[in-house]
Amino acid sequence: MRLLQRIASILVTLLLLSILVFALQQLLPGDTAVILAGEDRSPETIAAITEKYGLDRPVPIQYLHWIGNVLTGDLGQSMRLNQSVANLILTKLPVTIQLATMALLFAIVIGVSIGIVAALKANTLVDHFVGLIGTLGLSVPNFWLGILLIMLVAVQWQWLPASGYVSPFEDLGQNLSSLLLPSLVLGTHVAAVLMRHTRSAMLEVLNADYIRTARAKGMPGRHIVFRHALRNALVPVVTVGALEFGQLLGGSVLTEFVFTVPGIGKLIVDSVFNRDFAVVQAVVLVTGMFYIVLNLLADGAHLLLDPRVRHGGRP
Amino acid sequence: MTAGPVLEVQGLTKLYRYAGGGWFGRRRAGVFRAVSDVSFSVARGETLGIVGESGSGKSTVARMMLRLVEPTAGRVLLNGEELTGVPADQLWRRRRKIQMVFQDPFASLNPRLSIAYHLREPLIVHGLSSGSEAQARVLEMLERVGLTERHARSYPHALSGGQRQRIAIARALAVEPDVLVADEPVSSLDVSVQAQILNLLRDIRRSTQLSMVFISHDLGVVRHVADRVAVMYRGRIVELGPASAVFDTPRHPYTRALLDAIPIPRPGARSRRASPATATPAGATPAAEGGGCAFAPRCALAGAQCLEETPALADVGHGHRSACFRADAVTPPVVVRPEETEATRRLRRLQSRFVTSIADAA
Amino acid sequence: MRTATTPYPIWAPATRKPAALAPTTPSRRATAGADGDAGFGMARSEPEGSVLEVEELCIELEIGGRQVEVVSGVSFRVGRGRTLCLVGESGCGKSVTAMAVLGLLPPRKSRIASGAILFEGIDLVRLPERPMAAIRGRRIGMVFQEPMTSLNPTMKVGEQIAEVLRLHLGMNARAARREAIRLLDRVRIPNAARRADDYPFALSGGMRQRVMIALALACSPTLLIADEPTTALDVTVQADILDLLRELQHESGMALLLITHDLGVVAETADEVAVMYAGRIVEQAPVAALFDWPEHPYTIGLLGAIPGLDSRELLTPIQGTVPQPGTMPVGCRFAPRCPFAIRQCREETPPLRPVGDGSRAACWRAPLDDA
Ligand SMILES: Nc1ncnc2c1ncn2[C@@H]1O[C@H](COP(=O)(O)OP(=O)(O)OP(=O)(O)O)[C@@H](O)[C@H]1O
Ligand SMILES: Nc1ncnc2c1ncn2[C@@H]1O[C@H](COP(=O)(O)OP(=O)(O)O)[C@@H](O)[C@H]1O
Ligand code: SF4
Ligand code: SF4
Ligand SMILES: [Mg+2]
Ligand SMILES: [Mg+2]
Repeated sequence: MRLLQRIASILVTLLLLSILVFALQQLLPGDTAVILAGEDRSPETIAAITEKYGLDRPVPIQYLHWIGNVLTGDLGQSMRLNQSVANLILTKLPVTIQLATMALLFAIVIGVSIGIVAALKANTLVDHFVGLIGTLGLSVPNFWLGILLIMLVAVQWQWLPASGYVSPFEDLGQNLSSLLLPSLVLGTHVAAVLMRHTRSAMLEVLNADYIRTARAKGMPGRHIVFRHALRNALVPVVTVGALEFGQLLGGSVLTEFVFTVPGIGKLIVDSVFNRDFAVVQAVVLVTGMFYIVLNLLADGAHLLLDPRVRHGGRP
Repeated sequence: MTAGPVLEVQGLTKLYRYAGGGWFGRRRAGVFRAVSDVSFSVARGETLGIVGESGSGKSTVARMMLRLVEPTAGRVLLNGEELTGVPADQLWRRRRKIQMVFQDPFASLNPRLSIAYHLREPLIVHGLSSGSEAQARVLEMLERVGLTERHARSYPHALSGGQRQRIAIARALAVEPDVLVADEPVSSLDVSVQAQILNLLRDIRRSTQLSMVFISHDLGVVRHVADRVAVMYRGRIVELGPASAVFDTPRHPYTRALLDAIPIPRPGARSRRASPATATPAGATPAAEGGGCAFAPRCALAGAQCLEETPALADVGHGHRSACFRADAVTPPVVVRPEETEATRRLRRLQSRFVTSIADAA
Repeated sequence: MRTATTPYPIWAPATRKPAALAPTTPSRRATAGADGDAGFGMARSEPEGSVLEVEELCIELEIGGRQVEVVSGVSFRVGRGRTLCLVGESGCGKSVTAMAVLGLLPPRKSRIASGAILFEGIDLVRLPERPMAAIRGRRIGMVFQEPMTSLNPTMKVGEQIAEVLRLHLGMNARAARREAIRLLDRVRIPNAARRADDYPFALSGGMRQRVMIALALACSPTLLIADEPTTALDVTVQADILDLLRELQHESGMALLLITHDLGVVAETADEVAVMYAGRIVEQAPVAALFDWPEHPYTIGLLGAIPGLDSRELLTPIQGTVPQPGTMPVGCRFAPRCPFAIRQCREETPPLRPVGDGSRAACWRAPLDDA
């Protein structure tokens, strides 16, 4: 029952998302066909587009038309690059996913471990210092940090490339080093978020009665932290982490732009500047879908970690 | 008003529907019987005690009497007038005659309002008095529960648990109800303070002919305040009768088990605890919904009939009722009564020094 | 702040002979002796030595940014195979005392200001963390008041027991699991082998407390500290758990420090009793003597305040409330509520001194017989 309910709610969310994205196109001022045509305003193109999307028909029919196309994988045509949008996204998306994954890994390693340390040293100098760093991580703008790192690490010390992207199939090492700086920049914010969540979850768990029990059992401190406290503390953190991954996908715009990484973020920026509306629309739709799927994954992780949820008890 | 009972409860039932749980629908949705067919009446000036283990439905019954929880079925009659089925806009007027006191006195007081405000509010809402008259009444109520004008000006957080419970009682009594429903009113208090509140309730009852429904999981407390006692088990009343009869000659194995389980503060009062009826099989599985006596899995007297039919609450004589097929076979608990000795006389003499009037109790 | 000075730092375990120093009341000796023997079916051996000796323990906690003394000069002793009940109303320092024994007080927010905790001769107050951890769970077991929250919600109960066996007894995973199941069985959990794979949320409060007891007893400790182990449970379940504790103690001969606020539980469980009030022990006595011939006004008041099953006499409430830490009255802390108080009580702290029959009371007016 629960599973069916979940699936139903996901379907409804997807439907709403698609309507929203479709509405975007309606809300823009001007003739939709002209907008979709982008740079090429020749009457033939416009007529072809009007014909293809049924733009002379009532709006609900237009929507059905559009969603039908989307469902068959036809996301439209990029007028600027003269390519199918689906193709375009398929080539750009993996880059962004790799970037976001690396950023998330970085954020988890740094955020969770520092969060644990801060919790264990709560209200000491170490904790206050970590708190300060966390606030910095949250408030420093991505592009500024990116430029700073490019200046220092790439230009000044020349340790890593300043920009450019190498496909992993060409050279994995170069691929990783080309994405290292962008992922650090992109992950900083999430690392700070995870750190705060880990710290507070950990603090709460460390004060729990069962931690007192573990101490009364004579468990060594290390064991208490990793075997008893961490797993319980991670339950909320994992949910946050999965949701943040969605943020990373959507939030990579500036970072990709600064480091000229050819991912979705760069694609959308370029498309906006070039009024390549079909692409913008498709990117928003795809990112939104990702978000919904990640939500589901977050629930799944919660399920794995918390037996009460897994066995249908009250969490 | 009438010669009949002040409060009458007929066939109260509460079903809770729960949604299916579990990710893959492992738990199925269904209904849970929190209370099944509970009936009793309370005469003027009488106190009915309700005992039973946690989750047996005591609080649900109490809340249904005030319609804080809507009953699934059954009727509540106050002075012969029905409370159930009355539309909400007429309910509050009738509800003045039935007031409730809860376990956690802090939760029922607004931390930002003064004690005087808490006591004045119900008077004004019910149009009983206003202005200086209300003020005088507030002081009178405070005095009645052993507090002073000083307390009227203070705020809930400045009072101790016992004092807050006094306020809750004063507030309930301010509107001159016929029935006071008290749900575990002393359970969160220390023993020394609990005794203050119990004595207070006793004094009030003596002087006002107030009827009371007193809920507690502590049998000693109920023994102390109740004239009649209802024992609940899994949402049903399994035994109901005069307090002395229920406590001294219980006619239901569950009541017997409860009595046997209470530790008596007198070394040697019981030679050995374990008696056949008390052995609680750990993790007893609940009886299948519907058929049979709910207590059967824990009952030493259970026979074949108990697994098939549900025993009804039947008269066993002298206004004493039991829902057990083998009520006759239930033996009274074995308790060694204290002897009158030099030591007990000394103790009573010394203890009498603690008794003072309630006025200086706070 | 610390004013409790008793000339006898350690409480001598109860003997039924009158203490040499103390004046005894003839009637008391007769009744206490008789009742004491009648009260217990099984033979109780005299203590051979004490497992735990707490001496003049003072504990400060940080409450609202202030260091406040919550336990003041507490001394007691638990003999091998004996049960000492620490009884008192909420907030009088029972749990803090128990936590101090196991070194479980919050590290930066508490301080053992003075005193000693001798466990089998070792002073636990000065013991470093490592050897202390080796004693916890191995030689001292502990059961807490909150069965619902004291087990790790994300770990199977069998594993939570097996873990302690692997740690302290060096068992391998299989042996530890087998032993865990045996322990669950021993605390009368039906279907122990299956239950071992349950998570705590699937067990009732009573069952969880059984698991806690199995856990505490896993390594056959010489001392078990049970802090209100049945307070959160229904009376029928409480009776089962207390029976179980008694039985296990009888089998293993461990010492039991049982903390409770229920004098009924005390009467049915204790060999010796220490009554605490506002951070101090105000009376210590063998269980029969305490109930029969209490000497401290607080004990006397408390006994009169319990609504009993066999009487409907007027209860004798103690007026007023328990003082909070940080606002303790000068002199005898019970004085504001005590009907026997005299001027001396409000000025000087009464020492805990022998009042006969192995009993000690901290009251200027004890023995109270002439009152
Ligand atoms: N809103 C609700 N939804 C579902 N079940 C409920 C609800 N309220 C109460 N119950 C269930 O009804 C049963 C009776 O609850 P109730 O609170 O009346 O018990 P009680 O006898 O007062 O117990 P206690 O001594 O713990 O206060 C319990 O099993 C409880 O879980
Ligand atoms: N961690 C803590 N922080 C601050 N105060 C505490 C803490 N633990 C206990 N106290 C206070 O210490 C006093 C004694 O508490 P405790 O030993 O738990 O009492 P009890 O006798 O009920 O077990 C109480 O006033 C309590 O509020
Ligand atoms: S009806 Fe049967 S099972 Fe139920 S209490 Fe009576 S004897 Fe026991
Ligand atoms: S010392 Fe005084 S105040 Fe304290 S208990 Fe004894 S008589 Fe009462
Ligand atoms: Mg209740
Ligand atoms: Mg406690």
